[in-house]
Amino acid sequence: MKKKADIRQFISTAVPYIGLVLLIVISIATGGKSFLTAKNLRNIMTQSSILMVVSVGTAFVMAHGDMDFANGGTMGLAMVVTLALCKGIPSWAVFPMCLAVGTIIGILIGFLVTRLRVVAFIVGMCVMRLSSAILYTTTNKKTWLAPADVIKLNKPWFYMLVCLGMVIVGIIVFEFTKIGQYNKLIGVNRNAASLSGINVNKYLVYSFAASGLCAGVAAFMTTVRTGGLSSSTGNYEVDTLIALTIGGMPLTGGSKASIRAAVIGALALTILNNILVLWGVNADFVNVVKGMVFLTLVLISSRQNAGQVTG
Amino acid sequence: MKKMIAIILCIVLTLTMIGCSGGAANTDTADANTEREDSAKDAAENKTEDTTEGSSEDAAGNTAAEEVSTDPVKLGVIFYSKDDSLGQLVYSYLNYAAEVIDNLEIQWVFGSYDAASQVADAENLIAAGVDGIMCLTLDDLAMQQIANLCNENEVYFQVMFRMPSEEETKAVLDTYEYYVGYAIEDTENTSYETVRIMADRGIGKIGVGGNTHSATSTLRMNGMEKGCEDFNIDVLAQFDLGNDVSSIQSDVQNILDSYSDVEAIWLMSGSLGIADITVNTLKAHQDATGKTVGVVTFDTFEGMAAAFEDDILWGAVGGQAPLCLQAFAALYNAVDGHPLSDEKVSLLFPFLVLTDSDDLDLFEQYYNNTEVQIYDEELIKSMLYRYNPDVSLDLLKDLSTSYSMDWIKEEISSRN
Repeated sequence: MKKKADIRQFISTAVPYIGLVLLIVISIATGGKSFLTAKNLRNIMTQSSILMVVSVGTAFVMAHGDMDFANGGTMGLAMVVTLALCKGIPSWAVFPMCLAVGTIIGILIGFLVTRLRVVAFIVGMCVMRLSSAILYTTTNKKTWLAPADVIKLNKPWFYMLVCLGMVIVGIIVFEFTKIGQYNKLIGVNRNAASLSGINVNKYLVYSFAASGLCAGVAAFMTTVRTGGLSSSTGNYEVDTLIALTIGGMPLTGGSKASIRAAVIGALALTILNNILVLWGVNADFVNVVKGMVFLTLVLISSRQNAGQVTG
Repeated sequence: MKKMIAIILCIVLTLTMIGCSGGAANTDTADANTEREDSAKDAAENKTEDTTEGSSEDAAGNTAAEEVSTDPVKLGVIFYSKDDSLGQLVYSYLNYAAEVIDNLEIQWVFGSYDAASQVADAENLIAAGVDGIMCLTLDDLAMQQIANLCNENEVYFQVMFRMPSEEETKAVLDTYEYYVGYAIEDTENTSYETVRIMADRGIGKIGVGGNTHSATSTLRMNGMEKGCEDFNIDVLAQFDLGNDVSSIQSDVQNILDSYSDVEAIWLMSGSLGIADITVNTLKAHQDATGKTVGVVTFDTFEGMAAAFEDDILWGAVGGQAPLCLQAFAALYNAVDGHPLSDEKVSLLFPFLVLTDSDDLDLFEQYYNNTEVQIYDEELIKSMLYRYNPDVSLDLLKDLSTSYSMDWIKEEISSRN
């Protein structure tokens, strides 16, 4: 009986990996030369890096069972504030500025959620709308260009390096510090976590701060990639959610939450988008294929998490 | 679990190493491009020799077909959607072009609504081996980044339905060898003309729905403001056509309630149901008070027939989809080694302005119908050097200038 449960547990954990490996194998088999070119692999890494970084931050919020719809908005606001100030600061300060603004917004969101008891996804929606309005207003007359020194970083190695660093730091903080451990525990059972002496509010704020910090990093990466600020900056809310779900992140958070979901999901989503273009799939079927893949993975994911204890 | 994460990280690292190790594996595309350039150069040399010897034949096309490269041409198109009216028509027109031109293949990418996603689409298309990319870029940043990407990869790039909104962007784009140019609607002048429609009716006070969130919306607003100034029309109030379409009804109603002397509403955009909602609100006002407040709008919409009949709709602007074929011709000729100009191409394409039910009938019959190809095989081929060595930028511009509802009617009638 125990053995059967172990096998089931192994299969459910392995599903996202199997999905990603399967996708890569199919892509190699069908995409042939085009998929395995150095240029295309660089494309995949570059394209997935920003999504991966945002998803790493969002994983902290989802670990305790909240939905984070503020990541795109935080990115937009971080870019606006940083680029507004960038004429007065040296180019090297743009990166820490993005980080600082992102983290401050994250802490503010955490404060609204924990102290004023506003539901996290409502705060996220508000940040999204606020950011959208500010972006429209600030970019309607003129495109905001990033400093030339910042744009020079637009090379694949930059995205890969930052992404790798963020994933490693994310794993360490998520798996080996109280921030990650307690947030997962809060996701399993908030009351139990509180009764066991954990300062729940404090760790919730930490998780939103982590999400804001990652959004700040992603904002900098987006600034480098697009060369500046436009009204459409930061549409990552839905993609992040899809990536994390594909990667096996339980929507209710808890002990099964992990950073691997961000890595697997972002890679899978990017490879899927990439291979559909390489295949030259008829435009009529692209969304059908995407929809079917997402639905299958979400079904598997929801079955996998069905028996989990939640708070 | 930790082992699994380690494996994933190893894969990431390995891919990173492969990715950074250089472009040796990408020789196929480079070779294809080199071959294309060589054959294009040969074709250009042959053309020069023929012209010198006076043996050039006329525009029947066969001679040109023999001279130019026979390599297949693969073009990528990045467009926001194929679900709305413009998207459906552009999809239909360009697919038709791919059908009638023997060596043309078109690969579509839809659904990107931000600059970073459009850049990713361009990267994927280049990896898929396209020779040229056409794109309705969302903003100057996307335009600049895609142009840069295409230039680095020696892939031609043509902007359609947009243009650089800033001089700096234009200056940067002009330095890129593989940037072909842009094709855009004659937005500001058309916007000015829509105000004339109201002025001709003796209107002096209007409400305006619009914003300046993009280069296109700014041009529309500029044309409207200039028209209002020239025709002495007062803008009593303005509301934002931003994100929330559901608020349009309240916005229009507020203007009607607050300004009893308002005579018309001018809409910078009527898409996504904005025009329908406005017309319905004005119809309800007409029924309740007996007073008609008209509307003039960019974009066409479902309920135009009834709105014209009720005399609520005074003008609607649309019909610009064939612009994509002009953009396509500029790009195709460049890819084929016969660019239409040594300079960057800038094409201005007119809108169709509908002012009554008769206009609408023709519009529905000939334009708003994916079964009808306004530019038929002969016309499309006439814009391509491969079939017509006499093609020039002026020919494309003449075709644009003549575009009108009457021209469409004549053009299609002449085929029968």
